[in-house]
Amino acid sequence: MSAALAIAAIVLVLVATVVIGFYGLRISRTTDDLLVASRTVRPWMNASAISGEYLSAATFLGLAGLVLLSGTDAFWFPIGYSAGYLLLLLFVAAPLRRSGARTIPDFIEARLDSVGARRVTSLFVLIIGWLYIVPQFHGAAITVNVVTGLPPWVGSVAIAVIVGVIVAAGGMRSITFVQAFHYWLKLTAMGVPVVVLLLAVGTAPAAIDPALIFPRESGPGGQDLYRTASLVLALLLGTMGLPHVLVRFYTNPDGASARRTTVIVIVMISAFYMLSSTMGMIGRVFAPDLADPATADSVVLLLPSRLLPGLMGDLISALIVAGAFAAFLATSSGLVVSLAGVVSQDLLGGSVRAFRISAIACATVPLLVTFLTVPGGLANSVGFVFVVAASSLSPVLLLGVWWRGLTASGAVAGMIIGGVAAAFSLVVSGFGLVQHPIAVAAFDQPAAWTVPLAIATTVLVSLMTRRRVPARADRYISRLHAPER
Amino acid sequence: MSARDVTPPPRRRITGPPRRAQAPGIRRPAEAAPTSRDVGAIYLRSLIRAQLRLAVVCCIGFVLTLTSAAVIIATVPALHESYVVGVPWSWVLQAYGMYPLILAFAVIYARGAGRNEQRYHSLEGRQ
Repeated sequence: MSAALAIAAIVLVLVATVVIGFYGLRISRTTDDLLVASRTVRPWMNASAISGEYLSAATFLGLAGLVLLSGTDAFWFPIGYSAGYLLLLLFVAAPLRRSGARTIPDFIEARLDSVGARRVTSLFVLIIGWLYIVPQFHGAAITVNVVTGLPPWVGSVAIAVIVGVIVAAGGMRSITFVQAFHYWLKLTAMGVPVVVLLLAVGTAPAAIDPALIFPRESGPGGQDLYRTASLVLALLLGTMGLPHVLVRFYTNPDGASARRTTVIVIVMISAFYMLSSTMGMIGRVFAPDLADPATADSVVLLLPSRLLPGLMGDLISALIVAGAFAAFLATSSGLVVSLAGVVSQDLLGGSVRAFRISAIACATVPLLVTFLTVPGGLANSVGFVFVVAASSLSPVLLLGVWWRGLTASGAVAGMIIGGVAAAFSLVVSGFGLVQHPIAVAAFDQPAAWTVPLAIATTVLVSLMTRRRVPARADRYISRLHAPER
Repeated sequence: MSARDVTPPPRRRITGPPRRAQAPGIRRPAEAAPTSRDVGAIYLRSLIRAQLRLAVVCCIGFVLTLTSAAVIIATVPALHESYVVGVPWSWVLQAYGMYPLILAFAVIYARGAGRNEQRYHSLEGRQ
């Protein structure tokens, strides 16, 4: 693979990102502009931006890697990511748009009339956001290392600096344009290589034995029922609890357009996932030697130069590198925007200057964590973030939108119990503290019990503190569901 | 004995048991007419119930459809023994087949929710 072309592709994406970011800067002046683009973004534009932000390192590199590594189990990840938007559409998209709140903590505070519940929510938003940024930075490190041979930290630092500066300078308005651009770039950067590779292998005689490449035990028949169900539950519910996903819905003009936006998002991300899954299956045929946890995430980067000799292979590789960088940039900038919004509102008074300082801080912390941790499988480390979100923020959001009996104590108890249970599972499964196969499965994929635990805790504690249901609860819930004129 | 001798029984007014103008516990008509605000709240509450019912029905329908699709893909042996361009059908269906289901339920819900809101608007506009 040509390092010069790959570096040129990375620089091109960065330059395009900065140019589009600063084009947006000219029209963002107030705090509202910075945080939610003054709520004037149209469904198609908004859906492109949401999809651009959502397709992260985990799907761009990690999905194909996991298909190569473990077979059809991997397909449940994108199915869950996509169906997560269905659940978001069914239960929270329009109501949260109408809440008038800018961030998840804003919503919790307004709904429960409690600053304490707001602080706990902010804490979880920060933890989830940072956990999600770290794999993006790891992805950048892998990519830079594989395609250029430079040390891994160069990629992480480059991404962190660019994201911090863009977010601090332009905020959400310019991020909306940047991320819409990134979606189309990523779709192209996955779609063109898939088509070219399929054409190339279609003409080349490939003596493959399907039973060896797509063995039955790696196929749908070989899946573990509990693990699959628990994973899908985490992905379904986790999407609505991700901080950078919800904040995007506040930029829709009204509830009905929030619904339209979500349907378009499902189409857009599904299209990408189908391409990405195809890449994984091509990888199974032509790069079985990469099927190792240490190298699987680089299969998308290495496949083109193996199948296409010469300049064509180099150009396709460069396109993929550009798409991968767009993935890291878009997801981490979206996360930094929403985290900076939370930090500046909660700690620094909510001015434009406070937002800029928070943006720099929110890009720096995960960079430090990146240096301290070793990259694991990208798809699985992002999967864990979904478990935490599904066990902490999602139950409270769901109940807050639909159940008037929710109290601040119930919300805080549910978030803490659910979040701690998820974190505890990570520690237990990470250090291999249990041996019994049932226990191992329960801690590897804990959502099946942590989500019901969080919901039950929230409901029980709310019922015990029934007298502290906020007086305005009925009126507030009515407002969430009353359509705009 | 002639009919003339018979004195007709005195006329009596036949009435039912005395009725009150109003049953106890119900406000007098002047106050009973619900204000437009009360009606608005009732319409809104029924809108919220309709939206929740629609969401729950779509959610259950989706989960059942997804589960049955997954079970069929995993258990029907023919799907693993027949190939399309070298890939077993079970793999192909698992990789591409679920997204149309997700989209179908999304469109069904979005249409239904929009209809519920339109019904609410037309009810609210009529009062």
